[in-house]
Amino acid sequence: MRDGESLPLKFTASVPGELRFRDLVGSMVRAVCLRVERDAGCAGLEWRLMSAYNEAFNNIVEHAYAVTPGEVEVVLLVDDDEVVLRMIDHGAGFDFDDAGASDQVPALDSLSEGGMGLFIIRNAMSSVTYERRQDKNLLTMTKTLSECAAVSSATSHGDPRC
Amino acid sequence: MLKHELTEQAGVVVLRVQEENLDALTVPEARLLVEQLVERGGIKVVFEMSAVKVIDSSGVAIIVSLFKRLRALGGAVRVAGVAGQPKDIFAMLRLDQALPIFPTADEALKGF
Repeated sequence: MRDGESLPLKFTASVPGELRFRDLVGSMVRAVCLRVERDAGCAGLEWRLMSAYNEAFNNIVEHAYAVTPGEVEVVLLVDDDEVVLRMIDHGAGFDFDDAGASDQVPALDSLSEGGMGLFIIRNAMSSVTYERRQDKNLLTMTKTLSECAAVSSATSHGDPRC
Repeated sequence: MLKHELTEQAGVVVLRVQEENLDALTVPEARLLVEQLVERGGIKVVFEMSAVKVIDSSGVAIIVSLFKRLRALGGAVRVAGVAGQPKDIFAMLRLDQALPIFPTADEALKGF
């Protein structure tokens, strides 16, 4: 981000845990990512972060709030080194290590929507942690900008990945 | 209903998705479309998605489902116009190696 700004920058939003509200907060996440891309010269950050955000929001709606709906809180922290996307809900917990934990690319014939979502989150981000704290699920997804910067030179060779 | 266009060229159904998002919000409607295509049996389909800017796992699942179900019926699916974030997701899931993907619908139609 630009000189003179106090880091990390923090952006927060809270919406009902329904799919129709996903893109409202998604717009904020996208706008911040595009700004970071512009300021840091980091191509592909927005695709990766938005992919993780969408999958995480879908999982909250479809699993955590499958029975009792609630709020989704989104916190975005940005500094010179990384972007941290934290998503918090008060729904049912889950075993993050068992749910789609494999780093192996799912085979086409065994590709399931649920496992695929977590696979995308893990592969889109530099690190992902899950905590169950009191009645909250906290999913913290971090993208290290140096990864983006290191690969961004490859964009000129046709590799758009961050 | 999911914005789309269905045409038929030389016995091949071309499904052009005209939504920017093929995701959890639009997939319920896309699923109905897939059911209609599968009901026609072992047909050949070009799934053209150049208008799609964002895809998620549910959008990927609908394409994979169409591919697997038509293949089981003796049909086939070719995917065309995958770019931007969808291309990134396809590469992440190695779908660019598992599915027949073509730059455009016209190229997908050649020899199909």
